[in-house]
Amino acid sequence: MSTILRLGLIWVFSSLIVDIQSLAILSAVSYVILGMLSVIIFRYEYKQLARIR
Amino acid sequence: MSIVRTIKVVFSSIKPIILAFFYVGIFASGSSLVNGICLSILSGLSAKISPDTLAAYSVVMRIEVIFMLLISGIGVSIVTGTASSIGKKDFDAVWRVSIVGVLFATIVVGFTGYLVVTNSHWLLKVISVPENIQAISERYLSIICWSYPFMALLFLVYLLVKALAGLNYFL
Repeated sequence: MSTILRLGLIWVFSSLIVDIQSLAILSAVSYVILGMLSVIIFRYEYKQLARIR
Repeated sequence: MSIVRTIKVVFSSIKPIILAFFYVGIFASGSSLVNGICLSILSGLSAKISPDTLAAYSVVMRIEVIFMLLISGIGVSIVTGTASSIGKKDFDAVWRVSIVGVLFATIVVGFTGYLVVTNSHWLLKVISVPENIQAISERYLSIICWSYPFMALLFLVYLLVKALAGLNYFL
């Protein structure tokens, strides 16, 4: 099931990427989303540390 | 008999440390695996557009590696500062070091990225990229440069969370 999902995701991305501009936009958007997500994870980890304190 | 007993005692004392190493190591190696697979998929997709696109993408990826070195250089010092603050039980300093370090590195990488993009024509000419590939590289760089501060944020937080999560487990 997960393999099918991954293959599906690759298929979606390959249909989205048609030129260098779309590749750049996709990479940039993924960096922005992952950057935001990482801040949320950092806050969670810091709260865990504060709880141990 | 006594040697076996000594080994058992030593192993029982180091077992939690080895388990903690595994706990931290599995996630660290897993992230490298995912990163490698994603990069190869993106290279494959860019090759599907045209061979010139793959060449341009590869040139810009090497420039991104320089940013990674800059980020990891700052990141290692932030992780050391954070870990030593946790060792001193100074938890306010942990927050201070993390925030100041991450913001400083994000601003430095953002500014350097801006400089690279504004001088990309000259920079790509210096490394003697062919003209048709240079045009594609410049277009890619002009879009991706705005996400470089987020890339710095992502990798620094990745390093910090590795330190914090590992230390949480040890504490």
